[in-house]
Amino acid sequence: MRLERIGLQAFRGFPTAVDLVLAGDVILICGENGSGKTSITEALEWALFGTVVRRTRSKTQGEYRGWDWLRSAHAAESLPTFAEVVVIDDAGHRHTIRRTLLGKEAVLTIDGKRAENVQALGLRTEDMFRPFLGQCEIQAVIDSEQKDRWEQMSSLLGFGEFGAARQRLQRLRSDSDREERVVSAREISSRAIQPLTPAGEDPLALAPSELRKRASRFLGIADTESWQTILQAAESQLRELYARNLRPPSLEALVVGTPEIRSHVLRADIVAKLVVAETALHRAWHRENAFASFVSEGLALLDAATPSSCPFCGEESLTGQRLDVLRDTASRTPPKPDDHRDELRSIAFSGLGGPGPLNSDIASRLLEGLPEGPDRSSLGELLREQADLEVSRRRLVGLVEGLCAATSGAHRGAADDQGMLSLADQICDIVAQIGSSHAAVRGGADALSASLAARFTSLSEAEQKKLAGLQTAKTLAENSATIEAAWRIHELQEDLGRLVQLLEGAEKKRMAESLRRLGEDIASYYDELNPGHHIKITGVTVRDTRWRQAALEATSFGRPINPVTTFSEAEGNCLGLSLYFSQRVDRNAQWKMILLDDPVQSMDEGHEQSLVSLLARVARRRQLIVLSHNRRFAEAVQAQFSALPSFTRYDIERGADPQPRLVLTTGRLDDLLTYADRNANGDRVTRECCGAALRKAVERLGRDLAARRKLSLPKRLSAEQLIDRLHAEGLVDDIEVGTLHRLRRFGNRNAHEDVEADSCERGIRTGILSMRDLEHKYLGLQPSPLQLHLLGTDTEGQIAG
Amino acid sequence: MRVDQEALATGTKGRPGGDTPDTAAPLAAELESLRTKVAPGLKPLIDALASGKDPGDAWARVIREALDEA
Repeated sequence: MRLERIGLQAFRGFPTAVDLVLAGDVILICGENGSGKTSITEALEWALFGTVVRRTRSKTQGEYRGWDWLRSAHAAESLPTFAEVVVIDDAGHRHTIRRTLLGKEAVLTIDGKRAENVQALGLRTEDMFRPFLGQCEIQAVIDSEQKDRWEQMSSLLGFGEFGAARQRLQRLRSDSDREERVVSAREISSRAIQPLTPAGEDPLALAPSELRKRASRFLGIADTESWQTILQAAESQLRELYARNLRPPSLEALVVGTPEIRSHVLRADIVAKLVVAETALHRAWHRENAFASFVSEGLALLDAATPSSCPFCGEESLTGQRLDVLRDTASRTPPKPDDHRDELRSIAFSGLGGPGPLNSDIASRLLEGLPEGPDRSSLGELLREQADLEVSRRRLVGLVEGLCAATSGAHRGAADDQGMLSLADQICDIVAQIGSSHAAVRGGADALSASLAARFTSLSEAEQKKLAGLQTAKTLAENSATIEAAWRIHELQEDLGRLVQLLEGAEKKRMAESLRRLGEDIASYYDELNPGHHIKITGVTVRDTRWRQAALEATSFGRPINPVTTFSEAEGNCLGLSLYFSQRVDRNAQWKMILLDDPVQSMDEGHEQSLVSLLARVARRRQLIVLSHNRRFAEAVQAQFSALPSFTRYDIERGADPQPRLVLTTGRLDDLLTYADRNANGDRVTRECCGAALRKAVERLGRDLAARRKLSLPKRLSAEQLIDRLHAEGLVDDIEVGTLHRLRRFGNRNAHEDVEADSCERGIRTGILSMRDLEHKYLGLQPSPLQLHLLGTDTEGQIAG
Repeated sequence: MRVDQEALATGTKGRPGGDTPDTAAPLAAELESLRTKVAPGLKPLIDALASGKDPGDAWARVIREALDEA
């Protein structure tokens, strides 16, 4: 990538528009302090990267809010502020990058389309990839923190990818620790392995193969056996243990559940029947709106019933209690049918919802070890009955919930009450069923427990250990697939950690090598700028313990010194340039250019000469742009490079007007005309630049002609004055002076504001031909191939056809 | 000042290693050499990194496969 043009308008020191055609290989831009040189480099930086070093490095960031400070104080209100750069990529394609100020913000377009940044063109935007060195940057590149310098060098040398990859992999590893399925697999594995793990150690640190070996050894089988074999062996040995009439330690806990279940059954039955009675009362109240008489009638009806049996179910023992409850209820306020809803729910969930009389876990495990016989049959039967009991309990809960839902309405109709009565009846039935089932299971469980207790003898301590070991082996085998999965994930994570370490090691090794070479290059450049100096740069050092920090090291008369704290301003200047050349030029593959803004600063003449020689060496195959206020250095650069055909020099002159004048003092006429020819069909701004190139070509022709005829001209001479002077001296005839003035005027921006694009392009091309003619006539140069083609001749000068 | 015609003619004598920047994709080269050093299960991650993609999908797949065998 190299530059072809920089254009700016209402930007910093330029109130109106200015264009620099940078078609040459070496461009020198000279101007006194404050003439606007840095405005040009800032326009370039802002257009390309959206930043300006002046702001980035400033310690008073508050002064630089927004971008409107870039606007020239003298700009007309109608003129928008923009900076525009035309670049040519390695494939020869041109791209126009333009950043325009809108209010305080900037808008970037690339080839007329909005863009976020120049990465769309494959350009990196970090400091280290910027091909220019601003005058306020020279010292700053030295003063970087070692950590920042390492980061910048790492990015420049292509190691940024290492860090990004490493961090991404580390994040993947830590994220997988939180994944739900991974957490669950680890919990299951951890619980299963825990009995084998010494206190304080991680159960998951034991590999499944080791667990399998331990379980196999414990079971006395070959340690190459599968988990399936281990499971079968553990179950078999458990059965053997029980078959030896050994009392299982859990036998005491076989029978559970409260024996007071009957009182809950009774209370549930009463409450359900109260619901029935209350519902009947509720209906009656609605029917007669006379609650008291209904209660009286209801009580009379109950009193009239046979006192020894319940009027509802015929159960004798409950009749008296029910009557008492009804009398009690009737003596209170008129019944609200919802009163017993919560109580019924409480009984269904708590009183009747507790565990069954048999501990299902213990009973199931016991069943596996019990030999065939009456106890085993009885235990199986009890387990089935308890399962039925669980079903009844769930059904009771469903019915109670249905009843509660039915009573929750603000006012119930007769149909609702009928549904409630049906539910209450069903509740009564199921409660009675639960009561009897519970009693049956309880009785059976007590009997079985007593029978087993009588049959078994207690386990010895060794047998208890054996039992625990067998149960652990069985649990491991049952969860072996999950344990294996948890271990595979553990191994994958360990592998990922090793990959991260390998990457880090490789990064460290490669980076150290690259930094060593970089250090040698910095030292080489420094030596070239300071030949024979007592200070030597010894390189860039990365310490093992703080390897992400890069230290610049140097010696003075062989003794180590810290260049950051020791160097004089001029030495620092040389080091800054050495860093720039070795990093941003030599290792910056995306830019084929060098741009230095006032690079000599406090250097003496010897250092200036060294820099010019260095530039002559490194500028080959690269575009070199140097801006300087230092007349001596500028003349040295001109003396060095003026022999090149594509050397261009612009002088920036400041007069009474706020807009500086940009004068082309040295440069190739051919470059300017080639630029105009190539861009004549561009957009309006580009066409204006072509016009400006033609105007500069007129100046170039005039000065070249004056030089050839040994006519001395003052430096500060406008194009108009130049043409008139040439005419007055008889160097151009009466006809050509008119042509030159016409071409000069064509270079004014307002000359083709209202001109159609086609006619403007024709005007540019006609102007180019005119200039070629004048070049041929006055400077004696051969016509260009384009001109020959248009004149109908081939390159050998023969008339075609 | 003397015009360094020799420098103009021969161009840069160059830093050690010449003009070629030593930034030729070191990560890609390193990943290629790591391919044989890491566990086979991580090769999809290496492939993703080498082709400039996010290795997250490859890692999620590896973890899922490990769990699915449970």
